[in-house]
Amino acid sequence: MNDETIDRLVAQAQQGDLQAFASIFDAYHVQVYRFVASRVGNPSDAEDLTQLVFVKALEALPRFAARGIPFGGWLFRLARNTVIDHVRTRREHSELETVSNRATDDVGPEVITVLRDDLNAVAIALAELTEDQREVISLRFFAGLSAREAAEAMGRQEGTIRGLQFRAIGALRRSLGIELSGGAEGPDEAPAAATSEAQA
Amino acid sequence: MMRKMNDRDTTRIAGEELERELRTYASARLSPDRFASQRMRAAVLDQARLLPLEVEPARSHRLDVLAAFRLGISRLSGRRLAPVALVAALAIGAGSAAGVAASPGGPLYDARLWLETALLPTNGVARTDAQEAQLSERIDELTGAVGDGNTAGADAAANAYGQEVDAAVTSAAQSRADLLQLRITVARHLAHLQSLALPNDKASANLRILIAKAQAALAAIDAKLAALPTSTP
Repeated sequence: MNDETIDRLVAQAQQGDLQAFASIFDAYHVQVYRFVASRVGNPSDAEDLTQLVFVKALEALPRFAARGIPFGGWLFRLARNTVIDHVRTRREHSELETVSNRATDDVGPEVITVLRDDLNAVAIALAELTEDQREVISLRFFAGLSAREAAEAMGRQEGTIRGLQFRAIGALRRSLGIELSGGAEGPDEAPAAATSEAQA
Repeated sequence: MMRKMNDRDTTRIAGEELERELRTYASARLSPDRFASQRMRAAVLDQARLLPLEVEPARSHRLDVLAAFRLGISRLSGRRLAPVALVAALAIGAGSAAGVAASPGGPLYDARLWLETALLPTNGVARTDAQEAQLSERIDELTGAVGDGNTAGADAAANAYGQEVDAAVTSAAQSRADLLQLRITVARHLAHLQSLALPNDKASANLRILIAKAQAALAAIDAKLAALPTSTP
């Protein structure tokens, strides 16, 4: 679904077209769930909060005006605020590992063991990131947002997002023992201007 | 819409191996399963139906027809497309008058119902979802007609609901998941209808008929669920 299609669906949903809103849900719910699940850890909470994000979006939609703001960024800002509210009111929220126990289907026990070890390693590496770095990885890689949309969702500068992302990727590579491969991009993905805010 | 990073972008940013690790992690541990997606969708759309829509009534019906036309067009064969295009074109050309006429009890209401049914997906979860949306639309129409004291409109919406719920139960009969999803929706409708019914109210006769139909549909769903083998997805 491209930007024009989403813009049209948003306009239709603002006019009360329920089917258009359903299409928006279909287009975004997996990404929103992934972001929420990566932040709250518990699949049941992730499901409830994802629903809440879309209900909030529905209520706020009449007041959404594009004005250069990407819809994805706006939606994920709602998601982020919803997660923050949830964490504030539920201090006992679990860590990333809680999500990790879902069964992996269609593969044999040996493969599952190896895969589980790999996934646990990623979970541990993610847990070692700073809160901001983990959030950027969630928005960029799990939710699939652009840097601009992630910046809008987090209320930060786009350069800051790139800086956080650059350092997060470096930390993940070190934790997971992954060498810098030929395809990977270096520091130009993290402009110098970006790093000051991130380090503050 | 958000620009999803394509493979080249993620590889460029993270490197092939890390990108693959993160993608696998997201897929295995952070993604909702089919049933979670269905539950979330049903809950969100139920909420959406309860929120007031700031749309002119006549325009709302016209949009329904157009939206149904847009959604259904990709699913239709050429043979089916012609009559649908004809009806949709009629609605567009007639403007708001067609919208009023297509409301419950109006002369085009039956044509609108026929169009909606013709545009339903042929099978699977998409059909169940569309049929549930159709049933909820009938409930909204009935609620509005009862509120307006429009007995003819309430009759028309109630009759349509009765036919459509029977069709939905038949469509979902082979899938335990679809039956369960439909059961949740009909049970919600039943609770809503029961909350609307008032004793000694003329319009409540329509509600009581519809409550009986919803109860019968739930009984039919339960019977079909009991008849299905437990391993049926």
